[in-house]
Amino acid sequence: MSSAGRRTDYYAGAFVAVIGAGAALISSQYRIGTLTSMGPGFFPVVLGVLLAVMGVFIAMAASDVPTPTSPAHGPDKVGWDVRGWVCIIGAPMVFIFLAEYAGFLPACFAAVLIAAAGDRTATVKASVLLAAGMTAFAIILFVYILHIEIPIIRGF
Amino acid sequence: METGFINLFHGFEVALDPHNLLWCFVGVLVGNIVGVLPGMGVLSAISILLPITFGMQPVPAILMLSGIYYGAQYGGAICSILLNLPCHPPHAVTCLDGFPLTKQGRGGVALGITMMGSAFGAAFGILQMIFFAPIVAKAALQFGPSEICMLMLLGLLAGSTLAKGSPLKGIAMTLLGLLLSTVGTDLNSGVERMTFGLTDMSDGIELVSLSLGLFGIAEFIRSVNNTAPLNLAYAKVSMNDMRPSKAEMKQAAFPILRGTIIGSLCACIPGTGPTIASFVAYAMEKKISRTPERFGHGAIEGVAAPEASTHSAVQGDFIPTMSLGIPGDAVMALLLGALMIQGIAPGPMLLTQHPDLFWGLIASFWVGNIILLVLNVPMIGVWVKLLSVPYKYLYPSAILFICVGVFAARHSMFDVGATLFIGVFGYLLLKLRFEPAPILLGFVLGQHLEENFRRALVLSRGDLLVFVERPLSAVFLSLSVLLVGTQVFFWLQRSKRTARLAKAQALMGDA
Repeated sequence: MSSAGRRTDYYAGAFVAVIGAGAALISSQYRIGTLTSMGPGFFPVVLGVLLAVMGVFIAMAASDVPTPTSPAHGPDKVGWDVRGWVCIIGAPMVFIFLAEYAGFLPACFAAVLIAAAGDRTATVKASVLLAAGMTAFAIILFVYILHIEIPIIRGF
Repeated sequence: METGFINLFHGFEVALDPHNLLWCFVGVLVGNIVGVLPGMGVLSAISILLPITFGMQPVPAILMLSGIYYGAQYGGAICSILLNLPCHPPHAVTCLDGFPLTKQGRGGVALGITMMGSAFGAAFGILQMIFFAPIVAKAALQFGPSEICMLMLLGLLAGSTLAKGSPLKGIAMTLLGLLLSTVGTDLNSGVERMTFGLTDMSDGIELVSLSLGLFGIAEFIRSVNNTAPLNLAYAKVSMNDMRPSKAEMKQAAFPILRGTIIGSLCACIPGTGPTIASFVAYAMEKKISRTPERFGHGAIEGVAAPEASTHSAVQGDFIPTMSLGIPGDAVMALLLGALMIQGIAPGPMLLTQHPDLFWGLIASFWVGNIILLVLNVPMIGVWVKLLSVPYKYLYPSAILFICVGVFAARHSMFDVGATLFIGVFGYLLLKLRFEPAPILLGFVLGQHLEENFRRALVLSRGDLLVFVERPLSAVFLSLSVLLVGTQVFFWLQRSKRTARLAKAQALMGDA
């Protein structure tokens, strides 16, 4: 466990360092200017470099002391919860697609249904009921009360 | 002083206006519900409702969003005491004695004491804001760009290093937030920065997308199939159980007072919000108690003090946010972001330019807290029932509201996709044991910081010494150095101790 904690910190440091270096590199293409008259590149380059340095520090300070996780969650997930992942990431994707091509109603219904399927104890009946209820609520709230402009059903 | 009372009177007119009152009520109600529901966070609740406020006037919008924050504190206590679930960090410490009391069948009393402590703490916190915020704002009016810069630096450092998690990672997240704020069109030159050629990004990253990605999607990916089982065996309370006896009131009175004072002190130090206040209050009660062994087994003081301190700190949290425009934590950053979206520039000018907003907000705190007491005491049964709503029905509904809310903000499906992307990115950060809250802090302050940094150096003709030469700016800078210095010192001490321990263990192993 302890060496795993240390390894996480190495990855964390590297991750942040890469983001920082990347941002600094991209921003260095904009005019940097001088201290008196800064160009658009100055601030992001400085931030990027600082972030990269922090990444190195994080990796250097990697420790075996596990940081306490929030007790509201169980222990950190072991292995891959593919089902949860796919459903939670999939739900907004399907929402975007269906809202674009089929309308608000099918998009809402599908999004809730797919998201609900991510839980291992989900049942078909409960998920469908939840999806139907939330869809009705969303249509009333967003289309009829808040008047966002989106067709409830497209085509036809 | 007299003008203060006139202002406050005017504030009540604003807060009691039926329209504003309604939104304040909606806010505290949603907050209370979110607080009670296990697995939902204040940040995600405020972010989900943020898009709805875009079409509203600034005053009701901010009254509602703030209401969610302090309303959730009432609900969070119920969750901690009856379920032993620290869903809301400020109430984690309340579990220690709250749940044993529940097991002894005195959960109602614990809740009753909590309500009394909360109301007292909140009232004190509001008074503190009435007195201090105008003074702080008045002093801050004298600040030039270099002072503002250094004050922001201090605020960002405190916010990222004093909160939970590793200070180094906190600073990295703040820098990441600042970096994200530079994405989009640069206001000075019109150059598009880091947009990767996407026209949808030329306005920068949407606050709603960022916060819902980090505190919505990322949290759900982490929590799905991974929530602690609910123990509802003891969650039965009626209103009559909540009345504490005379002896219990006496026992709780001084802890409530002490907790309140600790909470208001913590609110004055940037970066130490309600969570730290509650831990300090609990530790102090245990220390000064003549019978410390009762703590952890159902001591009334162990519930009263931290709850009172949480509530006074929550209200006090608004002081730097509203008077300086510098938020102490992610929730305040989100509220500040909401103000900016409404076109209100936060900072010391807020008080003079938008007195109705400032005093209306303060008055609404009183109104909101009274509504919360009315909601919680007679209707405690309803809240207890809500505790049993399982997470598997909550998160799919929340995901739907995230999708629709983000879309509604700008009528842009691109933003929904961006939210999802940020969510996956945020989950990666969580996996690498980063706390994403400081990202929001940096993101909200980023543009303001860059602007003032540029201005300060234009005024000084590129001389970096300006930050040390101006006395107030030097004070803020040295405070920042002191803050970082003490943390480095403690870190060195700790690593020396672990090294010694390891050495000792190695020697033992040899022998």
